[in-house]
Amino acid sequence: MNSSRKWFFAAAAVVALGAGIALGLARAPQPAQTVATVFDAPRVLPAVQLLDENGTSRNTESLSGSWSWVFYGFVSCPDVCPATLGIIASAMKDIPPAVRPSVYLVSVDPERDVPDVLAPYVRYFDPDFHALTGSVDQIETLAGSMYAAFAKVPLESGGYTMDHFSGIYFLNAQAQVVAVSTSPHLPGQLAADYLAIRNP
Amino acid sequence: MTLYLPRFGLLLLALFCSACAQDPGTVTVSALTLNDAPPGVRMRAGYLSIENTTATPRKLVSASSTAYALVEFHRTVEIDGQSRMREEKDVTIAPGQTVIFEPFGLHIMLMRPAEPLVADRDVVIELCFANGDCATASAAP
Repeated sequence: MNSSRKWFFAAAAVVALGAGIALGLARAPQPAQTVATVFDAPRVLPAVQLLDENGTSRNTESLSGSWSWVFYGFVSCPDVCPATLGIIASAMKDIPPAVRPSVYLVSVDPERDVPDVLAPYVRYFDPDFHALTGSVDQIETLAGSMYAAFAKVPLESGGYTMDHFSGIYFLNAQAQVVAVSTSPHLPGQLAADYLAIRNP
Repeated sequence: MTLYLPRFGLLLLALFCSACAQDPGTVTVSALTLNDAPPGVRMRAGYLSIENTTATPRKLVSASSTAYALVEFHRTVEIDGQSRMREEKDVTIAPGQTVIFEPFGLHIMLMRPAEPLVADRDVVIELCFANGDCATASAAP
């Protein structure tokens, strides 16, 4: 995947997100007190083969069976990703255990984020958190279907960082995307939104 | 007696000017905190605040640490829902202003750990300003 293609993808995703909102696709009647954006109709994910934090092959269909939250990030992200995962971990405490979602960090930096790196990282925030990685093409396919743009950005001092969408997606038990909560995230609000959307 | 009055006046004037020339304010750097991250993570973010009560702007121009080979100032910004992190070469603290390095905003980027962090050894960073003044801040790893 060359850099120009990445930039094209990132730009296209941002444009698509804007277009989606402009066409009124994004916003449905909101459950009371909900800050998260609820989609008019749940969005079906494309079939994408990924690896989880244990190195086990998983397809997107395997996300079904319980509600889940998906956040795009990467291990070498020093600020937003650990802070957001900490917020999600706090939000879990506001959700009754019986209805807690599965939480997935989808790596936008699959070159560095192999399962052995991801497993201790996500479990540090919550032993029940999961991670997904794969090839750049696979991650782009999944992220593109959710309008979650990301791009690789070289650092002047060497190495690179990743720009990435910082929203948290709520998926229903059929692994369909039903809502997205955008930054800034607050634990109590995330939990309240999730519960309201899950049981409107 | 009259001979001494001008001299006394000059002395008072000299004392007054000396006091005028000195900026009574200070630049205060708070303690450092590191972001919550698992052991072994090679990039960390440091957070603190810098208060400038002097009458002149102070420009923060460099940071260093024995624990990390590369320390920079970075700012996270949200553009179109995307989180982007970019380096800031310097950070100016205006007179009377407090600049806060905090999550989702301006932060001190700690990269290339010199060695595995030792649990009981603080991470110390040195912050240097354009006027040559430097200050240190430390945090538990």
